[in-house]
Amino acid sequence: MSELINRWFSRTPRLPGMAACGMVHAEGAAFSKSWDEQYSDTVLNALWPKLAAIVDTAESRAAETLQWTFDGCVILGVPRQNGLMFFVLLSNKTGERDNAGVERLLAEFRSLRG
Amino acid sequence: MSEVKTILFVDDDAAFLQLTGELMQQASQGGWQVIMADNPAEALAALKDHEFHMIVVDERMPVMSGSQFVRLARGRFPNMPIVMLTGHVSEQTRQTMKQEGIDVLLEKPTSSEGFHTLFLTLNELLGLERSKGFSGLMQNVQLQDILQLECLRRNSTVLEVFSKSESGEIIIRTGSVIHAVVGALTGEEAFYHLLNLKDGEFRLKPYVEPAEKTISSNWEMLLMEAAQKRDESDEREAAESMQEPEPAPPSFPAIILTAEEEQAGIRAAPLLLAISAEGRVLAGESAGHEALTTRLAGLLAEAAWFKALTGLGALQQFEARLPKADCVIHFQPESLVFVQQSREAQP
Repeated sequence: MSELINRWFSRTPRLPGMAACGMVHAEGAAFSKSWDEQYSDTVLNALWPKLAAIVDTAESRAAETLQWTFDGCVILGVPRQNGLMFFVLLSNKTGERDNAGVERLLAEFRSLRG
Repeated sequence: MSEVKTILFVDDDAAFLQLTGELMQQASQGGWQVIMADNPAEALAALKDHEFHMIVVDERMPVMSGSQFVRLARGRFPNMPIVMLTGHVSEQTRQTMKQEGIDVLLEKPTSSEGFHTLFLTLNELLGLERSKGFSGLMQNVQLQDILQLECLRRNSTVLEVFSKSESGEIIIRTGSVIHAVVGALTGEEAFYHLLNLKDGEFRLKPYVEPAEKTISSNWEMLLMEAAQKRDESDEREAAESMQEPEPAPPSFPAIILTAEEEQAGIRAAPLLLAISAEGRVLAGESAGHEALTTRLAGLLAEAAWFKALTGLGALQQFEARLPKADCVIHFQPESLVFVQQSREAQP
């Protein structure tokens, strides 16, 4: 992972409604940040590769945006050409969501160089 | 119960030191004993009184800089992980890091999130048991840096390097690289190949005498040559990426129209498949999509995994917005429906 993306990820802010975020490399290495104790890093690091596998099944690596709807949350994702994927987990528990902020975050990841 | 780790924090900024110490102690939930020293003299005294598992030192301190302190500490504890905190990571500090045998260089945290990241990083480093070999991701720690460190310390070790598709070994004997192998490649060719892998993992293993010695160049020359090869490869990639066309959208056989059909205004039909858990096609035309059908059936079996995770619940739907089409997979307990629809097809 490039230094720039690494640094960007380490500074990802918590937005209203955002319970966790993470990244997974094409080869499966995952990184996570969680602000909700029910989503531990261990669980999230196992979750992101599973989500990426769905993207592969649907041959959707070229997608502009990805979304997984669960009973308890919604996960948004953005893939990059090098196989790196960024995810934002929005919990259903929290009422308010900063949709514009999340969109900005996803767009930032999409436009990062490196 | 796991062993309590003793960490030495050295920083002349007493307020920052106090805050860092308290936050680390708290985050470790009793797993760490944090010893704080606000000057190098006190830190050196602490090194005599305690057995530490790690040293975290500020770069800028009066009288004795962090790197000077590290030089002294490294002489006495050659294998102890040493982390340097700095306000700004410059090229000069990176050079210092390499010269002084500092394991990790980190920016000083300025927010609670930063302190949390610092704790996680240090905790991760503590988990890397050097005597038994340690592993890391090449994205975070450069393989070259590890090699340089091992050679500078005149260590003997086997550096195992893995990428997604291949794995190899670099063998270091008392600070000299003597052998490398990856696939059918051996010697310097294998060494450069392994050092130029973009992503992967590595692990340091105890030294084992290789069956042959294939490298005789000194490690400085090898690393310089590897760096040059890497630069050339990066330049080639950069040049190629400048010319790279837009990624081609995935092909969707069911929605591709012939020129005649398009002219006739024929509407592209979406690709629709309903699959049972047993892989039976419940609806839709699977001819020509056998591989996709198999993959979707496998996905349905995998979907149960998510339900077991707290806070997720059952996976209801996956949606992908592709450059020219939309893809939706709707999950049900015993089946799923897959739809691909071109956005370009005119009604």
